[in-house]
Amino acid sequence: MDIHGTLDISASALRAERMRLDVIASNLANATTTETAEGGPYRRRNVVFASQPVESAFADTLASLGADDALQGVAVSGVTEDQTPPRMMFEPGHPDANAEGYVAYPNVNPTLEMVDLLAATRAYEANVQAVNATRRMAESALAIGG
Amino acid sequence: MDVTRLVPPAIPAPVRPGEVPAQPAAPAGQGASFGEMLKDSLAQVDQLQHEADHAIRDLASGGTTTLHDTMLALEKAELSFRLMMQVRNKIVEAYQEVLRMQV
Amino acid sequence: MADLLFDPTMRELASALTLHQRRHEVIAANLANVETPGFKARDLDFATALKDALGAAERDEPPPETTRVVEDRGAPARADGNTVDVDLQMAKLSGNGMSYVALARLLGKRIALLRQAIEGVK
Repeated sequence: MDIHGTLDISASALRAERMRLDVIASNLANATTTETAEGGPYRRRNVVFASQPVESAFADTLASLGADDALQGVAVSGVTEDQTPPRMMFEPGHPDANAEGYVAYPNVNPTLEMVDLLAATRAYEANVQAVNATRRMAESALAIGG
Repeated sequence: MDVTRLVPPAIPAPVRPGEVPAQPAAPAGQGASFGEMLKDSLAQVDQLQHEADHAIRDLASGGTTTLHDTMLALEKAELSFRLMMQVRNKIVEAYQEVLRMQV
Repeated sequence: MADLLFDPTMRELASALTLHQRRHEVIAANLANVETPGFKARDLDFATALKDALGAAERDEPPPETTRVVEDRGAPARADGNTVDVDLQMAKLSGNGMSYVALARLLGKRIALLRQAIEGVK
């Protein structure tokens, strides 16, 4: 069985979703960080996914027919900073307040982060299921000899 | 599968006392086909063994074969070998029976 | 003599197994890209592929080298252009996987039967 190719595809997704989960965790943890080392409030981070080719005999055959048909895994192609402006809250007594008494809070919306968290978890689990299915199929093939 | 072909052709007629026993490997008129049948099946068993070896190598080196095709190749080689052994046993049995018939 | 043992049915089973395995790869790739912007879910043109594979097995030819991969139109595109529906793909994963296991077991039983037929000749 071209088990390695299929497992690589699923493994790439597990890796990518894991990184996404890390970024979401970082966003949530820093939802109220008004002062960072680089200055200014924490800026929300976002992962960018892109398809990434994997090696497999079938994928190679498909690829030789035309790049569009190749079987692809996924990878994080970059981590970007959300350019939405920070939320300004009126808190004159706050140490990080500006001259007008406003404090710049991170552009992190915990609700949206939770939605992302759910999606990432779902995707992660779906790929774990794919790995399990691959394994079950391979085991049944090995049992052909009795 | 045609099971009747598993039974070897009729054994040669028992030898009457005083007669020279026929050569076991070539009873009159039937020996050639029987011996050839054996040779063919041996060649086939050999061929299937080679195919099984090739399938294993292909799988181990990450080639284009699939797991089920490899298992199938292994089973084919094993089954054909067993079949040949059974046929051989039948022949030996028949031969021994012929020998026992001589007085 | 080995030709006695391996009839078209076994070749068909083997071909069907290969087909299910290829489909499994495509589904796994869909699931891996469930969050990739713009990714279009794919599937095999299964009905046609199965017909071709079984036809080849019957004529004692090797199965087709590759199988046509088509777009899976089972779900609409989301905002980022991705058409992978996790639920749909998971359902296909399950179904396809079970078919594979069933076929493998059938093949195994056939072989066990042959072995018994050979060993049973006393």
